[in-house]
Amino acid sequence: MLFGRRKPGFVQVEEQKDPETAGRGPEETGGAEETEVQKETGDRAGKPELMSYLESLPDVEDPFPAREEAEEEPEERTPAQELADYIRLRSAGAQITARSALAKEIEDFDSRLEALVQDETCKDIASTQGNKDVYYYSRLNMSDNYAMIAALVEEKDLARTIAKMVRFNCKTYPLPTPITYFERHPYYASIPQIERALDVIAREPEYEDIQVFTNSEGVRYFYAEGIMSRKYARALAETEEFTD
Amino acid sequence: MAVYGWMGKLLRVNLTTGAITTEDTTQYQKYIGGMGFGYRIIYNEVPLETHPYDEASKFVMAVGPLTGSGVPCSGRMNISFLSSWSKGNSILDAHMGGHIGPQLKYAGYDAVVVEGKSPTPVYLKIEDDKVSIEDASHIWGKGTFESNRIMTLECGREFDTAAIGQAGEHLVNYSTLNTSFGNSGGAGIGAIMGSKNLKGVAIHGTGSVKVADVAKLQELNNYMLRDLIGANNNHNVPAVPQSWAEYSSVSGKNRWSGAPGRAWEKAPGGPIDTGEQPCGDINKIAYRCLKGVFDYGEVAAHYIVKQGGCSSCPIRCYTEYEMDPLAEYDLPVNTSNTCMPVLYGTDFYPDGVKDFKYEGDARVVINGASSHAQDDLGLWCNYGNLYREFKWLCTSGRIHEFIPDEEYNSIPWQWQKDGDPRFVVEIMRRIAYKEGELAVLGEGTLAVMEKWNLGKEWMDMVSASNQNVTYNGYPKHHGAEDSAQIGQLFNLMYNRDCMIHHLTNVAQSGAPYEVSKSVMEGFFGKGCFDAQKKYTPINANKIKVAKWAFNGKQIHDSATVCNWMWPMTQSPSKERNYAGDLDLESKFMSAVTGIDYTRESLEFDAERISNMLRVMTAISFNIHFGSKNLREDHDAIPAWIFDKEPDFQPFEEGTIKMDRDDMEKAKDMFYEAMGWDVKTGIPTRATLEKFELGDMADDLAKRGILPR
Repeated sequence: MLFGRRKPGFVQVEEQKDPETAGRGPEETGGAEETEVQKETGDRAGKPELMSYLESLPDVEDPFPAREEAEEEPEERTPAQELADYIRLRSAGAQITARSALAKEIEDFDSRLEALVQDETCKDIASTQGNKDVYYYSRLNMSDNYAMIAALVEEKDLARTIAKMVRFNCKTYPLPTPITYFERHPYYASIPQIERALDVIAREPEYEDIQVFTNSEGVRYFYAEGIMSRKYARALAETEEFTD
Repeated sequence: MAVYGWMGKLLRVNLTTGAITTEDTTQYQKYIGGMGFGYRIIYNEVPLETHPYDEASKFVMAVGPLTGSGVPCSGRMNISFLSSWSKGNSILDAHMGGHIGPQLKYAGYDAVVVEGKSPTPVYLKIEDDKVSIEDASHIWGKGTFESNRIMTLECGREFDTAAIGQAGEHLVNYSTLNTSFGNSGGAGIGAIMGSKNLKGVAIHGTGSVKVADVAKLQELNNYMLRDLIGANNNHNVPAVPQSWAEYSSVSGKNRWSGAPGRAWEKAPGGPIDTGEQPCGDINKIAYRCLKGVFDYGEVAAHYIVKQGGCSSCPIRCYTEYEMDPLAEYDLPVNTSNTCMPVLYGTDFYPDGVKDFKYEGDARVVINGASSHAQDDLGLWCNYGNLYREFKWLCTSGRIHEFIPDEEYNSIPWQWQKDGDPRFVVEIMRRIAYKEGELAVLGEGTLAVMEKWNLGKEWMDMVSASNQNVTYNGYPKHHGAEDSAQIGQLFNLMYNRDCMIHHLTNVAQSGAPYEVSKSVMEGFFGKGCFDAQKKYTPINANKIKVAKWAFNGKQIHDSATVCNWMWPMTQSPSKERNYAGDLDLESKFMSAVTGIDYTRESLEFDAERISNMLRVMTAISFNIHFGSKNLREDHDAIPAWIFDKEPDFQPFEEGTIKMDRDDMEKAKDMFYEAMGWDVKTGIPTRATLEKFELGDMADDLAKRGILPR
């Protein structure tokens, strides 16, 4: 029984009536054929029909009345507030908003941004500095860490993304990062892309702390030397036998 | 007469005489319900010398004041009885979710005590105060799915049913009671019922649970769903980054697996993307779990119809699958499960399995076949020991020592080599029907050791096949790997695997260590919670946590609420600094029962139940082995827990191998905290009197095992 009790009389079964006998009761039609519901409910068939019973009950005061809100005139939004609304809308859709894109579309962007920073109602609007741009988001529906990740994804520098997130994960959780982390949402990197990024990481001095190893199940992991020891990283990458 | 929460009545069914009577349960309310009721009744009425399959044996299906009350995750039913397979044959429990527990409440009962033995196969039909023992001779011999279907057809679709399978009928120790959604009560209850010729139960109730303060109940519900609840096992960060969340699980493997791009792909009408499920959006909670993806990875989504679950639970952790490749093998394609049966089928194929329709789907499909078979046969696994021991048998090189040639040759090994799902189905069938020497695996780990002359060293060996946490015949259930000494301690306490999730829910949540540490230390004090694989010596605050988790499990199995979801230790809410609310169980108890519970008073009642467990275990060990010392005879820890990971020393960064001296100290401190004699681990008279268990103290004294 998956969806709860079905009390007798809950379902009204309408029979497909013969046009000649429509409007006449079972006695008149010469046979009272039980419906499936009636058969099922057997001797409960004498109980009153639910909706009729409910309608017969006296009215009572609604303990949870809907709030009546007075219709308000829509407030006129300032250009700064409109900008904030736009950023919020995109944040609600898990999107950050690049400064360069805004500056391209909005003529007076700098002054609008300055007004936004001053506006008390726009305090939720924050920014994160990427390598190539500044990105705006609303803290009402996006976290700072996610904005950081979104900015990395936006800038499409996978080597930098891997390095930054590996260091972040080693410091924050602390855990080594499996290669599969970057295949998932919101990175969606392919293995060839990751391999190319690994080549960059291997040769660029700024990434020399990023190390790779393979655990006993054949999964490759990254960790950041200086933040985590290889021995500890390897130990953390070995999962216990899975149990529920 | 019903009071708030409790229904005030228990049903007693004597299958020998056919007598059906009711009794008032008011006298049992200090035992809360569920497990507490069961233990007191079994202690009062069943001498612990009784063999579990004797006519004199009884079992108690019991629920608690919160069951069916509308409290989130309150669909559980507890079944207490004597063990047929673990050391000492002492008291233990099966637990099952689904809808049958609430139905029992709506029918008007807090518990059903089943005693005696029917001369012929029967099932128990409970319809409010109309209770009857129905003929089941036409169902006997059938699997649980068909049995449940027939009982539902006969009784009506408004009934919830549960049945034993062929395993229970054949008195296989590893047997279950199953609903058709994969909810199973394990630990051997199937054979207990089978020994009584009781095929199943069908329950329908038209009543309701009286709630003392409905407005408060609703307020607490909204609070819990909005601010506290995470995903399955109350994991409080998502598996992959979501835009509202500060953190995510780096491994990508935690129980909040729902995410953008992951869908219930076989949902009628088209795939349903699980999307983001922000904290506070109570209408999206059901999309968080996506258990199949946690179990198998994203390939599982190809087979997911939807996520189902239990009464009053928003989590929906039962993945409902349609695995069409199984039709090629003439096997059922639909299965629903969340736990062991759907996880370990591939252990029957040590040489590996092959993909079916999608890359990486081998595990999914094989487990679909094994899960359906295991549930249909009503076979239990002892939290994975069944699978591990079969795998050990195949890979040890010793199979011919134990399995006679004729039987060995009759096993369809080619199916195993081919990765054919019919192999695991056939092996499970043999075990459920007690066919051949292979069926020893279904008698229990101790039976395997004894019959195959394996010796104590088999339980001491360092091997993935050996997860035995004591020498009593059951494996660890989230032990030292999650919480060092804390997990190891509470794993020692029962007569089966402990089923405690208090610590694993925090340790594996995916949240940063400093975040979880801050939450735990806020509740229990400094040093109470170690980082993963970086544990520290035992201290007083860790003992507080161990005691809280141990007693807390008794709360959940007595109240009843789900042991996987509760307690609400952490929260996904950044505004709350990710801290949950450990007073919530008592708040709900107060709202539902009208009795002013506090966390302390509820834990006190639970500790009473913990002491009943300990006393009954001590008595059983004394009866069967002449033991006067549970510390040595019940709580001994196998060597592998101290000897694993030879490249590491205890307390070194990177290991969970425990230290022998440290664990002995941990036992000292834990026994002291529980008011037990440190030398024997048995409760003292003072402790038992404190919990109004003086009769049990007298019993221990009469047997010469009450500590001085």
